[in-house]
Amino acid sequence: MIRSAKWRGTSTRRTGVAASAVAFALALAACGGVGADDEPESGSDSTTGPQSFTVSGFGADDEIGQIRLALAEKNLGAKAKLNKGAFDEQQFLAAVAAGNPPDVVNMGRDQVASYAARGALIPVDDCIAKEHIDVSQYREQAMSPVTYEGKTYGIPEFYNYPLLLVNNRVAKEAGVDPKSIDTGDWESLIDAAQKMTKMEGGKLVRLGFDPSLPDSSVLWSAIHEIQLMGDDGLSARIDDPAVVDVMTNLKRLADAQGGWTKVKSFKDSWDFFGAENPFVTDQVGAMIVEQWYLTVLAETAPTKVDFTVVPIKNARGEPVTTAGGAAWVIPKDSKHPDLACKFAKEMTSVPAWIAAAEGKVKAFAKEGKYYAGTYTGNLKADEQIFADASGEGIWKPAGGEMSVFDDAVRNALEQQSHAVIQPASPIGAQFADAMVKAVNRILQGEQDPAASLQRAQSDVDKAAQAVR
Amino acid sequence: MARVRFSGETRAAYLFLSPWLIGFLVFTAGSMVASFVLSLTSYDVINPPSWVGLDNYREAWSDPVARRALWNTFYYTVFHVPLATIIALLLAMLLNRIRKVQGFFRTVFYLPSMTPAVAVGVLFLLLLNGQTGMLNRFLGLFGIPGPGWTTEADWIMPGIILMSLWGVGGTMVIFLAALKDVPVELYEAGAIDGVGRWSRFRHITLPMISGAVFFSVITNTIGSLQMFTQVYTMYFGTGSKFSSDAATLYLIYLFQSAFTFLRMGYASALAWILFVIIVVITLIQVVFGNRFVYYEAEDK
Repeated sequence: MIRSAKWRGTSTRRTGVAASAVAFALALAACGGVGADDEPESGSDSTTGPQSFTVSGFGADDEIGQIRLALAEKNLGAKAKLNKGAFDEQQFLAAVAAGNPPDVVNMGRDQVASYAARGALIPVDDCIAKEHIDVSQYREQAMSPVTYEGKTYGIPEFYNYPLLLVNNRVAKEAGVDPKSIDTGDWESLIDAAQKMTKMEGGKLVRLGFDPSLPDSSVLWSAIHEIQLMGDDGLSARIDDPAVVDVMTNLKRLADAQGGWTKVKSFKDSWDFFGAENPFVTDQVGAMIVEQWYLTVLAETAPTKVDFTVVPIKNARGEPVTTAGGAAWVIPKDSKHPDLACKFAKEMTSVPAWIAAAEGKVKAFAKEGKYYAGTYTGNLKADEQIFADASGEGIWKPAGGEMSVFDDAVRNALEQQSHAVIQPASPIGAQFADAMVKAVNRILQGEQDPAASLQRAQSDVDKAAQAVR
Repeated sequence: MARVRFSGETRAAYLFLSPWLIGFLVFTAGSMVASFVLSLTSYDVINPPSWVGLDNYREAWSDPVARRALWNTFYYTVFHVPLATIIALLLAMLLNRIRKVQGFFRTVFYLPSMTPAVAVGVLFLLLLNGQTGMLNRFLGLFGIPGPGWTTEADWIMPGIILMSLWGVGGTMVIFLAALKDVPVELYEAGAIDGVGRWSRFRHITLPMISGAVFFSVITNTIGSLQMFTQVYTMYFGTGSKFSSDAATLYLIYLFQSAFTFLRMGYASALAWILFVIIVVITLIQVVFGNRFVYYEAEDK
């Protein structure tokens, strides 16, 4: 018995020690970040060069991403370790706070100034000089949001911009000429929207005009020639009477189509990315949507849609749009900043975009799909991709039943250079949040436009005060 | 001063508990202390924190968004907790009466609790859709035009409360276990005395399962005050741009303050305010609730 008790005690101690060891091991294992903790502390790319580097916010989910990535890895002689998925601010901040950020990050250009102002990003001006990156190749509207207080913090990638797509079948049925839809004239716009809207049994079955709210407030302000954010990126003019007027009319537009709650519920029921998308099912008359939607329509049911891309016009009849997209940035404490810089250069170079676009064309050709173009922040790459006039471009008009798309791409390209950009702002997130909430309050009828915008102005002013 | 001596078994128990204890100290207690310190600073996560004393608490006191978020959270809790408790109890009583295939139905009712919160959020956006959602279609059968559960400001919170009832299976299982522990003799004695169904429930069932009800109310209240994932997915997640004031729960505002607006110090103060609120509410529940709880070991 005594032997047994002694044995039991020893066993308990051993088990306890083992349990404690496991707990410590688990605790330590849980402390990993998203950065490259197995790499040297400082950029040592010059001598032997690291074999790998970490990339965040980039999934390489399609040919455009995969081909550029493979090309960059080949040219750099290094392996990119991808932390797949879109940019995750929580994950990024945790990694930065722990001093273990990824080497290079793909994030929205509208977020760059916010992180740059707080010192989370390294300026890339030296990198641009050292790597002889020709910044003139990038679109001005793509460079402007990554430039903060005279320094450049990112290399622009894609270039996304809203277009106005009009469903020809619906417009014809309603007796509306697609080309007559004028975003700069409230009365004619509301009239066209009302004509194209269809209600059945109190339910909305066709939305006449989708203004893409609440996230298009900057576009609608630009249409009415209002710059919501001052050049300093801190002085907002959200509660300006002109903005109140824009929002009042957007509310009228929603009300003319059954009211915002019906519109939103109806939109939520759409198969937006599928074969039964609203242009196939004629659930929409006209829609503000970014240019990548041309690819969605071309991929899903191209022969079942009939639409026209019409210019978004301001009150003076001039074309106008906005632009967004991602940029490659280098976090402070990046362990391989030089390699990160070279990677950003490679991923956004003309040869990389051309190779990627060609790869996409091949992949689509195999599946019998129409290629609606690749829209980049690199002007020179776009010129080569869309050089259809000479017959040497990568995008080629298909003709026949796909001529709807050929015309759409041509019209989309005409809109490309007319983007108005918000100045880079360190309070971009607060501004966007305040605007979305203000627009929602107005459209839902919770607050009148003046009161709602005043509250948004106050929220943004408070945020600006905190960073001044 | 007498030295505390642990027996071998006690030491073993502590050693086996050590993984949890270490986890608690490192990941919970340590984080709590850190967050309290941060709540007294201005901290953007990127730069070193700077001391601001009680400024964050003062700001939270006068912040209309924080107040609205707190109001929304109370609204949700006040309706969710009683509804979840009553529905779980009804389901448990129903299941307790079934003798055959009880296990099957128990699994069926419990399964929704296992569904990932994000999936629940997405699913309910479809079910509650004002135009095409199943709920409004069902109401339509009776000629009732359903509201915009996900789009009308006044109906957003009722919609969220409806969604939250999806997960009552966990509470139901606790109640079912408690119901099975009620001695049959008590019901038999009641039947002999001619006690009706309601009286049996009121004077036998409810007191006998009061411990389980008390536990569920407390844990549900704490969980409700911390509601986040499903609502964030429905109204604030990637791609969703319908971040209405009506759906802004306290934890969502806290999360946004920390990770979207880069105000970790302020978010920490919000977290501590919520912690104090939860402690106070729980204490009130314990003090008042205990009077109605029957403990078998007691001689009441």
